[in-house]
Amino acid sequence: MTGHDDLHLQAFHALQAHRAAMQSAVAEAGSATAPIPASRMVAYARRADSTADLALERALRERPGLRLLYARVLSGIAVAASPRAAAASDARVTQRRIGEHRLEVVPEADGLSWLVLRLADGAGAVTMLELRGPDGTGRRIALGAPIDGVIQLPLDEAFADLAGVAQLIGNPGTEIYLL
Amino acid sequence: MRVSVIIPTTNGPAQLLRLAPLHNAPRSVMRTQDDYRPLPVSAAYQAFSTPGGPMDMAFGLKASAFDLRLSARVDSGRSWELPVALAHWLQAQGHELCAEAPDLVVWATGALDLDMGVIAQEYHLPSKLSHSRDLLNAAAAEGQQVVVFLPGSNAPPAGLSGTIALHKVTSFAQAIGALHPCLARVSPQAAAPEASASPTHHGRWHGRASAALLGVAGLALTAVLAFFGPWDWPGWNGRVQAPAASTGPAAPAAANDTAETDTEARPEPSADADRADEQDLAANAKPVMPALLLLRPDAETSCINVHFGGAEAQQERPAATEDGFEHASLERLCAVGLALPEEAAAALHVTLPETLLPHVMPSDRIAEMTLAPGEERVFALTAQLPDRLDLRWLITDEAGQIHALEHSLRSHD
Repeated sequence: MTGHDDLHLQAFHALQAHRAAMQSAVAEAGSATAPIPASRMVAYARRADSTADLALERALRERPGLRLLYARVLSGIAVAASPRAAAASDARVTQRRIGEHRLEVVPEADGLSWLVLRLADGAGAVTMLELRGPDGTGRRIALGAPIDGVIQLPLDEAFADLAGVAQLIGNPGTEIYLL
Repeated sequence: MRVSVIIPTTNGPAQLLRLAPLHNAPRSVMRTQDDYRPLPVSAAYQAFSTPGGPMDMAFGLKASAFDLRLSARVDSGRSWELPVALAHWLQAQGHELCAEAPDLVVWATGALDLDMGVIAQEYHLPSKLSHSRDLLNAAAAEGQQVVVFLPGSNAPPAGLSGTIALHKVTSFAQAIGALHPCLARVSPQAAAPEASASPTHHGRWHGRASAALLGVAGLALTAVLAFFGPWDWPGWNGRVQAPAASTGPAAPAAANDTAETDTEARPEPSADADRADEQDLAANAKPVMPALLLLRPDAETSCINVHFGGAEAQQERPAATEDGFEHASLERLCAVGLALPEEAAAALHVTLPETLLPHVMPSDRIAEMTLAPGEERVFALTAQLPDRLDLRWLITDEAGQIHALEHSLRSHD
């Protein structure tokens, strides 16, 4: 079985699980939220850019089951993933290992912190980073090209895409995906 | 002094908005104010600004990485290198880089080689200048000093205000030589460098020398003209921004030089001709010049032992001649340098010979330095030397006069 087949199998299982979840949701009398089609969720996970679907993001925050499903799809397509900090604790973390890669948040004297992603030797193309906090809050950011094996971005909250990113990385329960 | 640095592109000018040292983040990043992602040229900027890289070797950098922010994208090419190097140098000298209300506007384009020489190539100057013309003319109209650095070109730019100083440059060292008088003109106090702006690279024999490149207050316009020698373009050869009346001894010389070129750039007549004459006389008195130092190993040892501290070097001082020093041998030469006698009245600014730099060990390779009275600075040489080196040291004295000291080093005397 090839990796390609694996991917399809994972997507198929995710689809089945989601269908079951949808049927369950529909059956719930008085449910305030409309079911999210699995195809929409899979397409959202596989999108090539960092645009956010606000309805889906809200659903991911409100429905742990859907979040689990989304995580499984993302894990299937990610270059590398880290479900939580290795030494999870209540303390904030500034470094995470994502597969062979290392993600850090480093502060500078001017108050601006930088996201530093050190790519492992021979790493394939990494174009996006997705963070998903324990409460379902998510951010996906386009990374740009590496500079000498390092992707480095200023965590400047003036950019909407980067709002809350430092907090998410600092949370040991945040899932991190490199796409 | 507040300085705006402009990087021209064929899509329009990009103003440098911010240049901040990074002490923890590992890479230098060039980006625009509208995007957090690095520009594609960031990888080249990282190589250019890395410790031990061309800029660090030329004048020393205070940090290992930088955050450089521009007003517009620079997507490709390397012509950003000269303006970016100038920005780093200006900041290292204590000047404030800004986009709003600058005292001085620097417009430059040029890719640099490892020795910080401007690479001869097509720079699309007509397009870049046409996109920048309004910006530059507006700055000049507001009374800001505007300096334009152009790599080799066959035609003078058209449509620029006559008060804009135009300089054809072939190296980074030439460009900063041309900036000296501009920086000293508005406010010598503001132009004084920070003490911490010293280069980070000192040779094994070096004394602690300040790289106070701007410490020569009142550096005159003649310095610029002497620096560049004859110009190729009769229409604007040597056209430089007129200095304020009576700001220094260069005013009369500048007037002579610009009279046959560009009337708009002609300086106002000096308000105090007598004072100017006195200044001219003072400028003509040649200051105490440095002595040439040559270091060689003893007969039983080698330069390698000298470089690694295993042996002392023998010092030679070739006799001074009218225009420099007597020729000397390249045989077993470990290092070359200058020593300024104690009796010298003031520090001198020294631009090292361009022909020497490729043969100086990278750890010692700097383009220029300030030599204080009683100070010696020598530069370790690489093992592979040519058969002959013709060297020309440019010495700028306190009055802004430039003196060339020439000599040859040859394999067989």
